Amino acid sequence: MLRNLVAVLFLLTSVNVFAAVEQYEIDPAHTYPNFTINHLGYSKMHGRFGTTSGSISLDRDTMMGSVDITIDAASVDTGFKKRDDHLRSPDFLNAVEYPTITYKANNVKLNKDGSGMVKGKLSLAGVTKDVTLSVDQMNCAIHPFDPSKQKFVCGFNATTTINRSDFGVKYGLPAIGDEMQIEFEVEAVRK
Amino acid sequence: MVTLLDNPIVQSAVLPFLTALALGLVLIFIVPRWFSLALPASFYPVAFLIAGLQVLPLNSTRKILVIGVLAVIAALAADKLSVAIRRYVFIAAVVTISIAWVLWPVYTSNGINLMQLIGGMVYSLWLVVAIDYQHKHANTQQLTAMMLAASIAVIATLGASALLGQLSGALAAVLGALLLVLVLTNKPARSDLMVLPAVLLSTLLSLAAVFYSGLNWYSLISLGVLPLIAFIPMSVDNRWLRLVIQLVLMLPLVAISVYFAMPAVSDSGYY
Repeated sequence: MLRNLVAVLFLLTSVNVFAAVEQYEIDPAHTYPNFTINHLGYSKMHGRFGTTSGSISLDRDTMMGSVDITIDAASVDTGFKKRDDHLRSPDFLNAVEYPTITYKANNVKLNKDGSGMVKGKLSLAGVTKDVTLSVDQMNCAIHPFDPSKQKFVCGFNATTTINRSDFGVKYGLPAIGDEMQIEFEVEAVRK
Repeated sequence: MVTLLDNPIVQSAVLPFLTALALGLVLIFIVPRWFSLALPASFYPVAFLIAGLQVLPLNSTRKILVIGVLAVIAALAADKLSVAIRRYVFIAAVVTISIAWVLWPVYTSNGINLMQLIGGMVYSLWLVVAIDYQHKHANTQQLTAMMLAASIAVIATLGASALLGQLSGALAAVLGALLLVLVLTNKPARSDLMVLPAVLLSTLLSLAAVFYSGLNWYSLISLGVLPLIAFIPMSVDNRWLRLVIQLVLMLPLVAISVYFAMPAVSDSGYY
């Protein structure tokens, strides 16, 4: 009797755990990593990456999970083709040799209000470093424009600051800023 | 001082030129046989200043710098091969392996096709052998190598990557300084010893500019003609005048190269 009770409790707990972890696919049409960098001390330059893919696992009960984002380095866009070509060159992203920028994190810890930290590894131009993202607020809800009311979406903005020289991207230092503010504007659809 | 060393002009022109000039003058008077070693000794400190000391991850630019060091050793080994055909077979092997190593990642990812890979090898091989063949005319050989490096510096900076352009510029500055030492002193010296690393570095940087940075490949064609200037018969004994004439003959080829690199620079000025 006791053995059966333990087995039932274990089964219920397991089902609860596995059911709580949800898989999300990043929505490329609403996910744009972007960056800001100081330009010769005059102003801030903004740029973004147009092509992003990846997945998110999230347990909304414990607010823990993992993130796996892949960015097409060649999709960099600052609104000026010549500069974008230069950013793709070996001076900066070296997009031919390192076509993707990735961010992988198994340590997502969010608070109940949706804010929190994501500790992971950023790979840029062939160099991988630990990078922690700060999440301002994650919101999850049924998509308001979905007629079937089935499409469940989570979205968040995450920010961090890196030194590009840590990734071996040293062109134009110190005139062109070393410090880069990176913001991930992410929306992901539950599978 | 640190700010001065960060200046691209200082890194890729002033510093390598002055270093090579000083080292070249010392070597040509003390050990003229090893005069050419002023090339790697002057180039590599500034190359590390420009590109950094890191070797990993081994990207194409770092591979090129590693090849340059290995080519110095290969050049010394090639010098020991007395039979010309063996020497050129050895040089061909070094050039072919070097090109394959640098371009292999872009070839395997379908960034270039087999014809482009072979074309890059033939282009480099032609330039290395053709300039090496000028060893009996030290000043002309040095001038050709310098003009090749300088041209690549200009077109790479304008149309591809400042990093590749700066490295080529530093190489051109070193070769220019050594040419100046040769012409000023007019002393017999082994100036041909480092032709393999010098020309191989130049061609690798140019191929990297094309295949990794989007420089128009046809901007390199006229540079392939540069070594032929040395074979134009000239009845001029004055070594200065001879060099000036050869320089003037090379300039249109450089101009053509820059012209073909121009579409890529039509929007320049954004810096």
